[in-house]
Amino acid sequence: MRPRTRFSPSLAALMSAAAALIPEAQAQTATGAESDAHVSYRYNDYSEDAQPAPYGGDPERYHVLSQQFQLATHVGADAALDVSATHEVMSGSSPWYVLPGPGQPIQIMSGATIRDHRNEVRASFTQGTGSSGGTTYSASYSAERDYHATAVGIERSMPLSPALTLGFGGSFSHDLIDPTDAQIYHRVDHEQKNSASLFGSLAFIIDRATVLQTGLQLNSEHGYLSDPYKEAYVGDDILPERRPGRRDQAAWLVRYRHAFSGPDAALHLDYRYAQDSWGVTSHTIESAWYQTLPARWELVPALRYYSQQQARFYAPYFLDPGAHNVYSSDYRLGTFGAFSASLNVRKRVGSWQFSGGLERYHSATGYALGGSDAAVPAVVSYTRLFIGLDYLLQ
Amino acid sequence: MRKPWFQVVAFQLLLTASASAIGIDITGNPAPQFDLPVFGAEQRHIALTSLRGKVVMLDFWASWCGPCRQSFPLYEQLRSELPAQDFTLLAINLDEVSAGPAAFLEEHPVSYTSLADPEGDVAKAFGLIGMPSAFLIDRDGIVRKRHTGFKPADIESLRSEIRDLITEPHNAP
Amino acid sequence: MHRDVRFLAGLALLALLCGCATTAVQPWERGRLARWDMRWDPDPLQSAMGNHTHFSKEGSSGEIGAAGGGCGCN
Repeated sequence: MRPRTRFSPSLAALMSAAAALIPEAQAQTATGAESDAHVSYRYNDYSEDAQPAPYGGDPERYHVLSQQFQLATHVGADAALDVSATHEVMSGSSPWYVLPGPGQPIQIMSGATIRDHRNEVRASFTQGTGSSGGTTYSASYSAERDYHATAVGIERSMPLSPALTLGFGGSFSHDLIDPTDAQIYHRVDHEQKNSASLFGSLAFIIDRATVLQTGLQLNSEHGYLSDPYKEAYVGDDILPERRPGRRDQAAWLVRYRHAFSGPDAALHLDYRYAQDSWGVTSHTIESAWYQTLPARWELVPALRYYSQQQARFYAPYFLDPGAHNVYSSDYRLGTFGAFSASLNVRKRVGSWQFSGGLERYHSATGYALGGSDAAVPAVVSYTRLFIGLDYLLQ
Repeated sequence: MRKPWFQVVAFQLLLTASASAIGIDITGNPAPQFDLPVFGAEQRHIALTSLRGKVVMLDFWASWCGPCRQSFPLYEQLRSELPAQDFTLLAINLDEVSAGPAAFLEEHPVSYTSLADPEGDVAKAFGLIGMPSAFLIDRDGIVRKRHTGFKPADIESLRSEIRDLITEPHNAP
Repeated sequence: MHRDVRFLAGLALLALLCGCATTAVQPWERGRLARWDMRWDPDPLQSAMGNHTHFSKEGSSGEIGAAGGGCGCN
């Protein structure tokens, strides 16, 4: 005998009564007014630590100077437009391939110092900036000598009740890769990559001073996913790396915010768990303390911890020349952990806001959760400095 | 455990909904009485009863409420257009701490009075469902209109509603 | 066993949702929630730069929101 259906008329009555009690006009949600009108400028100086011995080639690693410009305005009564541009100048050598050494593996760095720039423009239009939700349409274009990426996205925010907001959306990106000096170094000539992503999130107002958000993002990439400038020692050959033609990733995130009225501060705690089809799994924990000080100063110390387990096909080098379908010695796919500490400062003067900050990021294979089995030469440490200026429009 | 757990789920949903149900529409009912201190001059009090006989607009605001920045100068202008013997505009501030509203009033000076309701008791009595909220009370003390939220375009409808309330025939007190 | 697990999971989820709602926050009590530093992202330009750096130097990415475009960042 089949079990009786669980749906009962009394349940239906209860649910319609519940629905009737939810007020129609939604009160201002916690994240209602995130759109201020402003013009902003940021200058960032990113500098990686030199590659430690044993190495070959130029140990001076990446140095990137970037400038960001942003304009955000209201459009009519219920819409907003956000346009931003980024200009970056990159120089320095980067990891190329790894040789098995007598003791530690030897990281060979790219000989020629790369000097390149990247320009990016991004625009987004939001329809519905009030507390009853809205839709944001966005598009971006990034161009550098060897890489061009075009992306579009859409996001929707919907309050389900005064204390609960649903967010969801997706994006798509089409990238074209044209490595420099392709002929000379036997690199691939012209490749492409397509990525698609979807996300869903729920934001809760826990009490007058606490909010919590949880979300899930799924992405999928197809096409040429390798780094055309990276090679690997396989058997006795140095071969261009080969990553799979597809990568699927899922990331689960939780964000917590709490305001302390005593010290006039807010605490941010963020956690992310990510896992992908290459075997890379990671945990990220970030915490920040936003301390308001007299005379409109704000001080924000923050800490971040990141731990990653390697991709299945990662190794610093492959001694066995046997059939390796996919392989990479790119440190970014290895097992490592990273600690980062930063301090940001803000000062408001009338409609102007001055900001500045410093971040120090340090990674090591030993920092990974659960330890590590393979050496990962070339894990990177860096220092980043920024200064910023904002003008608030009314 | 099959059927009972489903009823538990439904009851939980009802609890969620009822807990988040806030504010009952008091339009058509007599305005709740109050007697509040003036913001920044707490020794002075204003009671709603003292305004009987005039059309009253109550604006519930807070320093952290974005649309309030736009509403203040527009309400000041609206007030100046309407006859003082027939109409009073009274603001009620709901900030929990006084530093915010004090700074706000310096940046957006207005000639109408703000009363202090930091506990939110009067807001609760009026059944607010959003910020800011404006209530129009007729000469007999009955709440006639509730506006939740603010957009500059709302001034038009407010003006005509207030004029209607001023000109309508009413009972002598 | 399965039924008990589902029942407990459902109850836990609802307790989470209801737990959030039972301390219902009135519209005029949202002052602290409206603080600039209580936003999910108080400084979007800075977090964009941070995410971009981490995306370029680490093996994972993922944020709450539509993913942006890529780059050949090394």
